[in-house]
Amino acid sequence: MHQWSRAESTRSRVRGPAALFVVVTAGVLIGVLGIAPLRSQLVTLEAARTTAPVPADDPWSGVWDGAPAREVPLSVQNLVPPFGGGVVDGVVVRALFDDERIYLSLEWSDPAAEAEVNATEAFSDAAALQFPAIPGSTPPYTMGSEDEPVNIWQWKAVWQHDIDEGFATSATRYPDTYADVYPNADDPLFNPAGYVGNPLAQRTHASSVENLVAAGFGTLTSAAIQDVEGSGEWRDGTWRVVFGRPLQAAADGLAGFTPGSSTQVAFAVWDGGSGDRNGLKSIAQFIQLDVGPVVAPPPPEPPDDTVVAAPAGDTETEIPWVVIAVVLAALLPVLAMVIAASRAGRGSAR
Amino acid sequence: MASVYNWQLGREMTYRFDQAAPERQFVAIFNINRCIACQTCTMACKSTWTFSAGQEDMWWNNVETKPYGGYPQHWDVKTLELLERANPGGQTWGGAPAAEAPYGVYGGRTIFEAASLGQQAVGYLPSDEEWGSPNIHEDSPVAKAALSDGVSLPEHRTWFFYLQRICNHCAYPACLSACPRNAIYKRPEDGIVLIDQARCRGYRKCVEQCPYKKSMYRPDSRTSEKCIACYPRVEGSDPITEGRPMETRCMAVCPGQIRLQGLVEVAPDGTWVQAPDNPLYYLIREEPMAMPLYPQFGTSPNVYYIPPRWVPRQYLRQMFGPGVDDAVAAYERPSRRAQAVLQLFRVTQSIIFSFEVVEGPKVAEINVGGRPLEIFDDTVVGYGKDGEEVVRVNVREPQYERPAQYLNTI
Ligand code: SF4
Ligand code: SF4
Repeated sequence: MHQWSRAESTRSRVRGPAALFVVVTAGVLIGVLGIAPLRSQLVTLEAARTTAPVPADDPWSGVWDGAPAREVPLSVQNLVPPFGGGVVDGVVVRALFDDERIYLSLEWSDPAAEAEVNATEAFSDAAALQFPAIPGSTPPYTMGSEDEPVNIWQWKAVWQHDIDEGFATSATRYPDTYADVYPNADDPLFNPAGYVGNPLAQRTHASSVENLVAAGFGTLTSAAIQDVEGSGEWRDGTWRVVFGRPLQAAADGLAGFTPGSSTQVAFAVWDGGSGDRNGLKSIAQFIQLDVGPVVAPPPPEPPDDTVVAAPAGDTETEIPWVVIAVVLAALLPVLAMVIAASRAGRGSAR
Repeated sequence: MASVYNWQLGREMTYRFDQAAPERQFVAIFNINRCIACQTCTMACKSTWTFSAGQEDMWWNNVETKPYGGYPQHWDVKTLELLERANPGGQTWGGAPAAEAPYGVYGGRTIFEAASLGQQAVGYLPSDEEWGSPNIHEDSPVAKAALSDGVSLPEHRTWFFYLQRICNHCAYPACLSACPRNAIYKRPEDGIVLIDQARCRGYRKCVEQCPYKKSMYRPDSRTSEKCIACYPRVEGSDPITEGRPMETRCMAVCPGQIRLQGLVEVAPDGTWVQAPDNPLYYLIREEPMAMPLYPQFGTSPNVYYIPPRWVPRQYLRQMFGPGVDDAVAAYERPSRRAQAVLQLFRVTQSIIFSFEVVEGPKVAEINVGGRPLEIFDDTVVGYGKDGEEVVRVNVREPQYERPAQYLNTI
């Protein structure tokens, strides 16, 4: 059942050629210019309005079936040590909203679900969304800056596992471990991280999604308000994760969403099986997130209608001309090579 | 990347952060020659700090049998191999130990310099299996000769020795530089390196990059934990010493009396402020008799070892650098002053900040390596932070002979 309006559905069809152009452009940028992160910039994700409830505990819910999907390519994190990630090369993103809440869904393929961290070498799968914390700001996608902080929602497979199956300790992994006695076993002091309130050390979680704020590298901090709900479920090689939160920010420093306007969202995915954690992750830059059709002001039409055939108001037409120029310039040698090759081919046939 | 001065190597070295030094540095000397591997230190640490769930395989203090043992297994060989792979054939020592490079001139790369782009240091994450057998190969010797041949100095052909290991509270900690969250810090007052348990998110980059493998992951708290140098004791907040800074648990319990721990004063460039009456400074910088373990790693570790004098030098040179020959010689034929200072090991719980030797009579002349060595019954007096005397011992230990009528009595 499609819960969004016919107009939106039409819009998503009309976007076909535009999306193709975006993919081609991105491909050229990567292949010819080697500018991988730019790819994700060219995509706009529009959240579709829904009247049906979106279950935060069911990422595979049918409510997502017809939601406009965008494929966002991911790249290795090689901006700040420790470099790493890059195993997950793309994520499919979808967004819905209603009068109260916004929902985002991420989907990526991962041959194995890793949801335990109870061994030195065990790391958890995870995925995160990042938004500007100040409405209208354009923070660096590298976890924001002091002036332009970001709000991050991180879903963790291990927290999902904690919620679904209970907190896995080292004893869960090694049930035959033996100790004569654990003195003062009930004294929280002897779990210092838990004692000082480290959210990572807590045994129970209200949500598998942690709400975080950051103002640059190394500043990631759990937010005082934990109001992001969500869940993730792995099925046959694919993770699906859903995030949900009230449109309105509960406090300053947290992302807000206004129907009819845009914000930005960036993505990261961690593959625990590859040792991903922290900066070792597959990342995408900010893309535009429209909360429903954006009403004003309409972006300029591209003058050449052979490039993009999309209706006015479709923000995907906002492809900067400089990018197009660069792409065309980059394509020239390729074209020349193709022409040369075809001529050579004809020559040899002769 | 910034550059710092590593006095152990006598040269500048790349490091993530700019030059900075604590006012004082936690330093310890372990006399390998005297260790009996009783593991009292290990158990003292465990029963003080790591007795809870998720810490079963966590031994902040461990004593392993070299050359085969290791906790985690092969930690040393693996890190040496990483250096070698990054810089094949380049990990060489040259030049005689001198004032500038006290352990010899290291021509290779430190773990920081060998790191690939995007990493702070070379390193690896040991597996649970490698952590799981802390005393594997206990007492297993290298047996080059039939045991019936016996052994004799200067190098035993059948040999092993015990290596006592705690966190080195390094001057340039690899764990600290590895942490992307800056959750690890080095205290300005005593150079003790701590993981902030509120900020740690269990990424284990510190576990990966500490070359000594002394940062460990605790699955039940999902954070990394490490030796905290019994900092409440070092601060003097334990009532036993009435406010005086106090040695850590592992030092204070050692029945082999192999351990001496204290604090040395550090200059802003990381070098040690001259203090020949500080027993640690004296044995490390003046003699020098105690050596840092794998100084070539570049972290400038602060646990120093008096090398075992029976072990083939080639093995020791790999561990301590070419200066090890001089250190063994200094221990074999200790100077009059060193004979006195060596008595200060494990005789008081108070940290000894300075010492004084009161000369006594010559009591013996023994033969060491074909040459006579005079022994004097000097008295060494140790002073605490407040300048108060905390201990007084003689070179010759007092002996008591039980009178004949009390034989077989209690
Ligand atoms: S307590 Fe002392 S003698 Fe015993 S194992 Fe530890 S360092 Fe060696
Ligand atoms: S020994 Fe390892 S854990 Fe300890 S300070 Fe040095 S690098 Fe850090």
